[in-house]
Amino acid sequence: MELQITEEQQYYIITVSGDLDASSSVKLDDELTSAVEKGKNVILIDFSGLNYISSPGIGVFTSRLEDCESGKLFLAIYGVSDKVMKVFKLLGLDKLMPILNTKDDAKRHVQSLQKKSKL
Amino acid sequence: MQNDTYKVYRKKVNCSIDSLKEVREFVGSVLAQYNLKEGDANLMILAVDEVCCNRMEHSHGCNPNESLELVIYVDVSPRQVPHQLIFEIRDKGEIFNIVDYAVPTIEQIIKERKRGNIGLGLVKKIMDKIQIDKREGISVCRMIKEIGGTKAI
Repeated sequence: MELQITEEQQYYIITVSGDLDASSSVKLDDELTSAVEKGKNVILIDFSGLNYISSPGIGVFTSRLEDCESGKLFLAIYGVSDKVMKVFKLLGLDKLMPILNTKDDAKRHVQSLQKKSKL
Repeated sequence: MQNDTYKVYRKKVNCSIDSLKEVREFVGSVLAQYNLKEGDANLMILAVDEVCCNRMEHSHGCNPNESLELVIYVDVSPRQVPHQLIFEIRDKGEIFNIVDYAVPTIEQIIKERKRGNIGLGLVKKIMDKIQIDKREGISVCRMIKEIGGTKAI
């Protein structure tokens, strides 16, 4: 698995490619922890290059969804392939996780969450 | 298992989680020989990966000096559509009762900020039957997939 980091305005974008399994998920988990510690709490995950995901990869997100709910973290995932989406759907996570089609959709989603959190 | 009516494939891997890629490649290479939908094959690969990962982590401490054996039984010849596929994961570790394991809901997992407890739930959603057995020191987790069965893949 490879990770690539880019920053666009307020967005900390992590592009994940390859296989996200028990062996590689620690690297993504560490990257997310490190980003939040640096104050980067507006994070977009680009999954367009992701070929495979298993439960440890999914766990990286389930362990953080409460932080999204409480407004500590603004997170959105985009570019998910049909193959990976099937796994999210099997768990019912397609309805519980912020999964968007494109980067622009993900940015708009995060912006709307930020507006709500300021109300 | 009546081996004479099944095509049988075997693979031994060490218990380092780095071997999971090898597990997926092996299962994928076997399933690719049969007339299966790609989506179905991908989910079967995932279920085997999840059980192997669980065995490696919880029964072998990811010790690369210990090993698992994977055995796949397919009830038809290559290029045909199987009716049934059987996946066995055999090892010398302590048996874990996946059959009676109560899978938490995904909402519970999120609420408790957990990152585990997801994989075995996936296995139960994908496979039609799961059996466990320990004989002569060998733990066996047997997963049965009926093509066209009740599980939605």
